[in-house]
Amino acid sequence: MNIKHIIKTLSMIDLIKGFNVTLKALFREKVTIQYPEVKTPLSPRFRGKLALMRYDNGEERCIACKLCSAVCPAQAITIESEERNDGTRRTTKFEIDAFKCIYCGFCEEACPVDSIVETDIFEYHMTENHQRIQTKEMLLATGDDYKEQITKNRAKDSKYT
Amino acid sequence: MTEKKVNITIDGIEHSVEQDQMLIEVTDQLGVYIPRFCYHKKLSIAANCRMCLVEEEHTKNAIPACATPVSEGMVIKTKSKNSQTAQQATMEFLLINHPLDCPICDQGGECELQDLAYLYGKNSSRFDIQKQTKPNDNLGPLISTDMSRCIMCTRCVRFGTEVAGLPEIGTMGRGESSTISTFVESSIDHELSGNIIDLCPVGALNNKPYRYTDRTWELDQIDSISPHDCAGSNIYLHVKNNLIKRVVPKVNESINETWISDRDRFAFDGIYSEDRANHPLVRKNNELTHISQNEGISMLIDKLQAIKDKNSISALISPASSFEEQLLFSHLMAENQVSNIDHRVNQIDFSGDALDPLFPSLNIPLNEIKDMDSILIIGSTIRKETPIIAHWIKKAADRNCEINIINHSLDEYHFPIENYLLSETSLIAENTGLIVKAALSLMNKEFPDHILEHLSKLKEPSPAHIKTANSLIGKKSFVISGLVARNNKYYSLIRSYIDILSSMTDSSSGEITFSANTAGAYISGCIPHRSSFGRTKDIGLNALQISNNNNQMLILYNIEPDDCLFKDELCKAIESAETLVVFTPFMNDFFNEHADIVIPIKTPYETCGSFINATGVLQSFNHGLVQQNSLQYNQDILFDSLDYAKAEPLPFEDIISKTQLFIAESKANINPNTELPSINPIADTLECSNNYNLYNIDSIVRRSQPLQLTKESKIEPES
Repeated sequence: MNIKHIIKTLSMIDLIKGFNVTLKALFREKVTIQYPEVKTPLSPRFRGKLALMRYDNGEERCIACKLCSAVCPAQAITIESEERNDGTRRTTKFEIDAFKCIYCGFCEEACPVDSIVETDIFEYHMTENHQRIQTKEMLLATGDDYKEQITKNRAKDSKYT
Repeated sequence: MTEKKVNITIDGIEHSVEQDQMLIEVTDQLGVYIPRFCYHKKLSIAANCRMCLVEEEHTKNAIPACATPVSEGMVIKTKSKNSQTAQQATMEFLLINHPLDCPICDQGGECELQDLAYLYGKNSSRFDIQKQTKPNDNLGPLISTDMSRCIMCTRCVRFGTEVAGLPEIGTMGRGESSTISTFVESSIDHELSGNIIDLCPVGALNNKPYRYTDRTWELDQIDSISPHDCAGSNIYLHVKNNLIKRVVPKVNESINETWISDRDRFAFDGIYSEDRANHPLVRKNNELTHISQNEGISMLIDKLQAIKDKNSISALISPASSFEEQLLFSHLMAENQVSNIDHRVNQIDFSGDALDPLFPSLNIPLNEIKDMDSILIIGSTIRKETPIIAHWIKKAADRNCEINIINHSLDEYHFPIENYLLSETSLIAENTGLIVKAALSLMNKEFPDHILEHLSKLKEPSPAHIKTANSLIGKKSFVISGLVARNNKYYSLIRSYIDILSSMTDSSSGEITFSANTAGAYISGCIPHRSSFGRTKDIGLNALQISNNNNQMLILYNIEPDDCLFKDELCKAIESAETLVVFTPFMNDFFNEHADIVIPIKTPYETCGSFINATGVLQSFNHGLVQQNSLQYNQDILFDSLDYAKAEPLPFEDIISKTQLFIAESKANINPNTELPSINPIADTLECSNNYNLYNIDSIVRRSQPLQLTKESKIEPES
């Protein structure tokens, strides 16, 4: 045990160094937020809960091409389709299993008519198992409710795509 | 004769290939792919799409591979810069007017244009003018049209003229304004017309019932055999979530080439009809109530074994059931000493039973029909009965084969007919006899006296008969009888005449049979006069006698009254039977009212088994289709019944190979029959309808929505 070590131990220099870090941190600006009262800002590219969009005249965009269900790596999308009375190709069933979805955003990229989109919503819950299936009506309703925000996000991101 | 060989170089590799072939045929054989749209190996060469342009070293311009015969010293470069430029330019032109609606196009995923645009096209188009649109024709309930997608390859037009034989669509207009259309607005009614769906390289002609329902990549493909006619066309079932979505042809060069009839393609819809039998039922207090499968089987067997008078038990089984089912069913009946078993609900003359061959057959492979020089068709509306066999006859006619017909109705045929011997239904036999007599007078052959005596009673043959008989002599000739002959009240006589005629003129002869598996029904012993594999047994009652019998128990396996030629008699038998047991995939009014035990079975589309087609080829099907709900395979139901009846188990492991051996042996030992049947008095009292409705032949076809919407199904059968 040499003399250097004895001095270092007795003067408690390491302890002071440690407290110094604590002291600095005490006055630094806080990064934690008071969630859920306060929320972090989100990127316009944030990938949250899925939604289906409509055209301005209220017609659903989806044409049942099933490219989203083909590209989905988690196989979360189930679609059934038929010819509607007016001769257009439409879905009769469009379901997303929220437990399977991994929010990769491939479906949005695959969609030729910008029908399926990802919203900012990341905080949603369900109390029953069966509620994990989001039906076409639920998805369209989400799209209707968040249309403004979705359009704003797409507009913000448009110059980078 | 040896073919001359020429040496050509393809992509730097030298090949010695046969002369008189087109370049694209050679490259296809060698496995070098050249893109194409208008070329199809079964159709003539049009060379109008220009997609198959390739570079040849000695020629200035790129040459179309589909229309250039190979010649000595050719140096082909399929992947060179020049070839690529030519192909890219063609693709750019094709895409000028092709709409970019792949996401809603049913062809998407299996589209030749899509694939080739991806492989041979450019990324972008230099053309940004408004794309052309074209009006869509209504081609009936089977084929949908989106003519804007058409790239004018004219495969469908050539199919109409060359394969179907009746040009129903054609090209109209010139240049940019040319369109594919029916000349006058009408539906396409040819029985093979559905094949233009497969031929169309783009989504212009598509499957109407399947329209917009599924994408190709979602479907699983299962091999199967069509259960609707005796040709045994090979098909693929395209299945999603255990539901059949569509049927497409499977290539089998010796049976159906690449074609299938519309009936094979669209009939499957019938199995999703609402009147499917889903639960085993039993009649209690005049109400049908649910029971379990095992209860149903035990009730049936208990009742069957309780009846002492075995002659009052009768069983009818459909010739559309699989061979395994028929074998197990006939075994179940035989084990319970029931000899009244039959499948021939479309026959009223049974006087020739003793002369029956081991199984009815065409006796020659289907693909040999096209090599015939003369064909005589007796009692058959052949296009409606078996469109595929009619197609082979058409191929023979294309080679200048002489075709003669004896029938009761004048139908439209897609081949030229030399002599059309039109007569009343009851005179078909006489007409056939007159041809035998004419042939006898033309030939110098020894024949037994009683036949000569019989023939001498007939009137003198007309010049048409003599011409027809003459055409059979000294050539490769074939005599074929059809379902009208089977229905006929002198069927046995017609068949004996045909046998005599074919042995007299050294021609082949054969018979078109009902449904997919009549040959199987004969072999499996579902006939009253023979046990399985040709063994003898106590002769029971035939189908007609069963219907007139005083039955204590009547068992119907997959038979509906509508399947039956003597429907009224069968309905009476259903009403009068003390116990009516039905194994059925579908319920109907008769069963709802009279059935005492109902055991639901599956259609051939959902179960597994084998069919023996009209040429004696045994083909197994559907080993992959997953079970829908909890019902078992049909065979399992019969196995359970055999178990419960404590019957001797049937050795089943090597049954397929055993049957194939039996078929091969019986084909090798065919004895030409030259006996005449005794005339059956019962048949005289019966009136039979003879007009054969293409879309009314079995329980599945009758329930198929798209087929019932066609013009053809609306034709009322004559009575």
